[in-house]
Amino acid sequence: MTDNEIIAAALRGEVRAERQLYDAHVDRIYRLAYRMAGDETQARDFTQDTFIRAFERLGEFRGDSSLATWLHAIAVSVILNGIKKVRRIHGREIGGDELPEVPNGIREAEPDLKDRLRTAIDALPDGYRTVFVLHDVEGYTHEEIGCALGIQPGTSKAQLFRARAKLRTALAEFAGEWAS
Amino acid sequence: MNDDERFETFLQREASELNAPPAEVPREEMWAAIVAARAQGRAQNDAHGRGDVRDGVRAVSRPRRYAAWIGMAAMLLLGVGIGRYALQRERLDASGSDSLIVSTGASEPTVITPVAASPAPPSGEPTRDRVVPLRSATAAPPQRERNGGSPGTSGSATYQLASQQHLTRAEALVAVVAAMPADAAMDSLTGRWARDVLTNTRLLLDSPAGEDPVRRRLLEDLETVLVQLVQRSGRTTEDRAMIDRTLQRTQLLTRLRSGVTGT
Repeated sequence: MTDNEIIAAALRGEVRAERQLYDAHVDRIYRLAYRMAGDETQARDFTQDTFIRAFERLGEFRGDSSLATWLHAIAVSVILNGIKKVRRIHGREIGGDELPEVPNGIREAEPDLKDRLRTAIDALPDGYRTVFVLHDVEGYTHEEIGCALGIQPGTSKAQLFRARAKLRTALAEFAGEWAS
Repeated sequence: MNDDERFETFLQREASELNAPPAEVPREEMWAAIVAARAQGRAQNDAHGRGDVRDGVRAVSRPRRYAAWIGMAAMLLLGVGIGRYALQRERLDASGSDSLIVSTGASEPTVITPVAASPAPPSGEPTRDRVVPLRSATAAPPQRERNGGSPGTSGSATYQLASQQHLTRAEALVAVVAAMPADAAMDSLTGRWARDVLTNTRLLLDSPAGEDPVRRRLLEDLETVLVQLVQRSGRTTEDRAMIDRTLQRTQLLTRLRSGVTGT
């Protein structure tokens, strides 16, 4: 079945078509949610929310982009909003002063590269972090990212460049790791 | 390869190991949660007007939250049941006959009893305190009097409303059961939920709501599934297969949805 046939069947209320749509896209969306959230429970919630919202709005899909791109746009929106909500709750729980900051590159006692990288990625602005994860980790093209985030591919490239620059600054003390 | 390219390669390699998703995606569990949340959302929409289906997803996405939700529902139903029972007993004591109380959403419950056992109130007594005839051994036609309401038609509307409310709750339960995989913890929770729904199903079967042949058949099939849910033996897979067969054979979920929407 083509995307259009699946959509038409799903709009008629055929559960099998909904399941087919789900099966075709769930893995990639779950992976993205997991990458962005770093938490299994949140990844599940975000993935479920994405498909619930997609099924609710399937009638609004006009075919201007592929179904996958449309779904990923919903997923990115759900994930980013969900992460913000979680951070707000955590911020209230631990106090705003304790929110992570961009590392200044000063070497501490036996710093761990992966911990430092994780902290640096978490500290990136939402837009930069999203583009970085989508492109460098999950392998999306700038065109796909542009559609999903509602930005131009050029903006996506620029944000990726800035994200890498920030990470390079944050990881300056590990320069030997990639120079060698 | 220049320094920038080496950094990009290094970054991609290191970042790919962070927040690495598990190899196996929990497809079935997420799908079950999606189906259940949508069913729950539809039931809520039917009962209370439009709402966000996604509100329901977290209630079924993890057993702990789900348990809390079912617990609250069970407590609520238990409270309603106790209240109904107490009122029913009070009315029985007063009238000496069987009666049924139906929530109408009004400020006071409607109490229904056989006509033969209901003495006419003395002149001047408020009509809202009168008991209302129900289907009974007297074979008297249903009749309802409440705040000057017309007999017959308003009583039918009351039972219609009670049936709708009940079928909405039953649909939510059956949708959850149909969507969830066999699991001992979940079976225990849905078993308690089913017991509450079963009580009201039997009350409705014995009321004028059970006189309509189509609705009666629906309530009887619902009763069968509820009994299977309540009386599960603990052999989860076998129990589940039996319930699935009944659900499939009776098309219960589809018929419940039709019954809820009145189509």
